[in-house]
Amino acid sequence: MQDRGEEKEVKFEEALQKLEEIVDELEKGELSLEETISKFEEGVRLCRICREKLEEAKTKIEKLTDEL
Amino acid sequence: MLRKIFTVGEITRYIKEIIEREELNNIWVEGEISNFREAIGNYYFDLKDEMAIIRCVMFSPSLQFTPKNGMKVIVKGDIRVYEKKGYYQLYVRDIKVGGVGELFIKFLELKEKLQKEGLFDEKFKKPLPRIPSTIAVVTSPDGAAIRDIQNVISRRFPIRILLAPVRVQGEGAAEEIERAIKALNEREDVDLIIIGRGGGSWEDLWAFNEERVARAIFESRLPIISAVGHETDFTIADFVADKRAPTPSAAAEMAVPDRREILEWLDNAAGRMERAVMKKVESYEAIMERIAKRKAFMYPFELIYDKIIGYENMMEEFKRVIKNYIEARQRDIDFIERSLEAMSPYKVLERGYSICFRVRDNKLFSSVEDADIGEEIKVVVKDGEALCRIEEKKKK
Repeated sequence: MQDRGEEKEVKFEEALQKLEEIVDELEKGELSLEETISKFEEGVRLCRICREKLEEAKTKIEKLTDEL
Repeated sequence: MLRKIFTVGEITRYIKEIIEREELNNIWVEGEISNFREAIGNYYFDLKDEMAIIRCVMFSPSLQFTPKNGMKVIVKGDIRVYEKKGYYQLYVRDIKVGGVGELFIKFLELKEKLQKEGLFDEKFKKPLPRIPSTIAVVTSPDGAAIRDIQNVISRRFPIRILLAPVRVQGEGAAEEIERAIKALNEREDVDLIIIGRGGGSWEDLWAFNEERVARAIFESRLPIISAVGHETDFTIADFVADKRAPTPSAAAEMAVPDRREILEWLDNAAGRMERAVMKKVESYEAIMERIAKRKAFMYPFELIYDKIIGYENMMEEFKRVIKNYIEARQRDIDFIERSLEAMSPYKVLERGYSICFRVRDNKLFSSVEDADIGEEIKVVVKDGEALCRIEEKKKK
């Protein structure tokens, strides 16, 4: 995967997990309005990152030689 | 020695008891298949070597291959005497292909040893990462395994694959696999290891039955999926690994989720978040609405109305008190006036008395000493006054 910009540095699994947490939190509805809005914004951002990562993803095979 | 005439049944029973001892149960026998035939779902054949031949029967066999004459095999089963026909035979439960008797014993011994040590214990199995970023594959660079894995990964969830090229069979293969596992564990960028190869003969798969490979797998910090051979081949590596996949393709499917499922989930997540936010906003709107409907906002005058009423009441009260006070004072004054009036000396005139004053200074004439003879006196009676002159004075 090609890294472009800092956002791409997020690991996909971590981004997805964070997103899952945010969706759960939002659905519980116990956050304040400000928190709801900022979580929502973060969730949308994570959604976009995850989607981009998925769409950009290409399988690349690297062969190890030095170490072996 | 035995001076007795046996019946056929007796002597056969006697032989049966001798033969069917513990040590002839659950044994492995190596030999070559001959005279193979299949009847009503069972296998009948002879197992032979240069020295001897033994009858074999296998009931309801569930093998991945069909035995053939001339095949070198090791079979597992029990020796039983078939009394009706007067012969003994091997009741077969499993058949392994290959002239690999020694290897197979080694396999069984190592398996037992490692099992006792706990290398296969469920409690040591590491969970696989849900979505690895990089997986390493320890296999031959030329084999089908790496192609199969690559195909599945790029279809399901494209990620980086690190190929640790090793020989998967022959001399030195086990050492290379061991070294690769150890080297990969030194790296920071690997989340999961798949070790494996496609199917082959028992000897071909042998590297995956070696102790050094088993220990390297057990000691691996990174989770390992073992995918050696086909569905039915089990190796020591399969038992030690955190997960066993029947084929390299299956291992790849275990390693990564399906991208489409995640995309669907993401679509779903966006909708769920929007609904959650809308719900929140709506709940705040409802609160706002309730507040707007409160008296303070609907009828702000009412808030001070009570105060105005209170003020007016207070003023009324104040006025009333003042009025009462004035009235009370008024009554006091009236009373005093009346009392004074009652005490007024003029009042007595009504009753027939009179009052006299000296004319010269208009002072009260109440004693004979007050005026001289000849002096003028004013006599006041109830309806007027009379001017009089003193003629004579007499003192009492």
